[in-house]
Amino acid sequence: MLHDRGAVETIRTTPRIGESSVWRRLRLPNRYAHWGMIFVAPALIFFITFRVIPLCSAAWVSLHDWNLIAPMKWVGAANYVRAAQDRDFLIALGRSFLYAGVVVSGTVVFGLLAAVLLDQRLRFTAFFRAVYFSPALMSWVVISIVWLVMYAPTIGPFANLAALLSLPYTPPLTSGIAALPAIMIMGIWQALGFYMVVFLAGLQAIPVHLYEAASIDGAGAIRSFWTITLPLLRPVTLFAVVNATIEALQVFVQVYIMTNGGPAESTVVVVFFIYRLGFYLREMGYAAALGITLLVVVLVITLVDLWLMRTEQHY
Amino acid sequence: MAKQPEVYRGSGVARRPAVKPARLLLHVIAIIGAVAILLPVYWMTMTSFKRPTEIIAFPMTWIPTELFFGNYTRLFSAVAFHVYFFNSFLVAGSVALCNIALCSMAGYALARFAFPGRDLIFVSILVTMMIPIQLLFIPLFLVVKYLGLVNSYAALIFPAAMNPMMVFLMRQTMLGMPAELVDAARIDGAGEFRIFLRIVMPLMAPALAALAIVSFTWSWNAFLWPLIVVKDQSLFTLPLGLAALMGLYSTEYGPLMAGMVIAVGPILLCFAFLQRFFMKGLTFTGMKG
Repeated sequence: MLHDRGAVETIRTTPRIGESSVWRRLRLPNRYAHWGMIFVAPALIFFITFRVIPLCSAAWVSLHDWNLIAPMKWVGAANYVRAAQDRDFLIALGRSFLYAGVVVSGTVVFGLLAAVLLDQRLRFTAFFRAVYFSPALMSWVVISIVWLVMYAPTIGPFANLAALLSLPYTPPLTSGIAALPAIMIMGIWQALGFYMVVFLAGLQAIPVHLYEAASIDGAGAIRSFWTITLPLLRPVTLFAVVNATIEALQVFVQVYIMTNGGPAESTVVVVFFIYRLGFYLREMGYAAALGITLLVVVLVITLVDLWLMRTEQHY
Repeated sequence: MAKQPEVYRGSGVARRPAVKPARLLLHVIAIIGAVAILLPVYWMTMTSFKRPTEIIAFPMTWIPTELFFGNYTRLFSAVAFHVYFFNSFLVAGSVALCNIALCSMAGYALARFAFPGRDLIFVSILVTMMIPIQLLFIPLFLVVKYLGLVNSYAALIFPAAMNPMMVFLMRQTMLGMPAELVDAARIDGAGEFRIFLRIVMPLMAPALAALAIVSFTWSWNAFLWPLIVVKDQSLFTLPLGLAALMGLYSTEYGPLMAGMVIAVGPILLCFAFLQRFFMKGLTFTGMKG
């Protein structure tokens, strides 16, 4: 039966799990190498076509002036210089960061509170968890349209609640000051439950004996929360903050559907700015340069996150 | 039975059974939160069953005075909404199937084989999985245009057919798979494809289910990419159809709300039954694409 020498070698050279490092375990006889290539090839074709090439061509196009019709004109780093001096772009970028800052803090604080609440062994915990999580499954288009109509005067529930309490109601999306906050509230509503589930997993990983020890030492619930729960949730919180920030910096659909950048450009966020530049004004080179800039921002955030996580201790 | 045993009294803040009024208060808070979260979905669903005159009535009604299905019938007669639904289903289904096939195969190769270039591929995947593909939409559009795929199902499906994050997750999962099973099958003379289909895939079933659900949901909800790459109404997916509908019926909310109920309904229904897979899948992969 043991006529297949390769297979026998595989057994001999494959240590049992946990015996050796991952890389040692991977060292299979080379007669299987071509099978590895066959298995990876289909994914690799798509990966190169739709990830690697767009990434490289973005870098290439960003060094040119191009309106999709006339031939590309080499301009070197001019697009990046222009980006650094473009007041509208910098405002849009700042607005995206403002959006991210507010939405991420709101999401993380309320998500953590909701997680702590549902960790108290309430009745119907599974039901509450599912309900809080559900907005994360909905398309941004649907969410945006529903909230757009909800914010509307007279027909929406907010206007009706205000009328019920005989408060004045100005539709927030028509006001230059209130439009962005209205979109932020919607953003918090959407993401809160998702990060609640993330925090719940973190809470459940904290050993109960720590709380027991603290309570023997006379610590109350609030003190335990600040000295045990929060410090031990640091890695999870870090993940939540970084993930939510990257997510929030990509805000686009909400603006596209609800305000189209208005009123008076007060909701032009950076992805919307790039979209308009590329597909309405046809400034492909400049749009690509801005896209690359934003990618670099996201990559820097990710790298800072990885660097912070490196020093993280496991408990 | 007697009261709580004294032992539990000091056992951990989070686990301590609290006194009754406090617990009641916690439940009330949880219910208020749930009502706030559900309000938009509730209102949308209720509005979809109201007559046009009732929708614009002030003060609004919280429950429709009668069940009116006209918004739904209107949706399918006036607009080709069934086409959007079919397109969404076709595209999201294909994306899920492609991801299952491509990502599991690539993950298997990266976890279980040694071949030249493997480490380079793995590192490229690690780097690109942190980049949100959304931000590459302009060069991606140029590539798709160059390939002559603009305005086709292929343009909607192919760019999402594999996801570096999913490949990474499949690789990590496959590293934990016992090697003995594959080796035993090799000794018995099974071919590599047979081993993959009959041994590796069944072992990966839970991970594959999560992968399928996540890619389906992402694709079902995607907006920016379809908006850029599709022009024909006959290729519109649900989110595009809804956005177009909003332009058409900017003051007539009934059909719009009905369309949105149809767009989120299937996902929320599946979620009700497959909660665990949804939460695991989505929280492990970060979020939407």
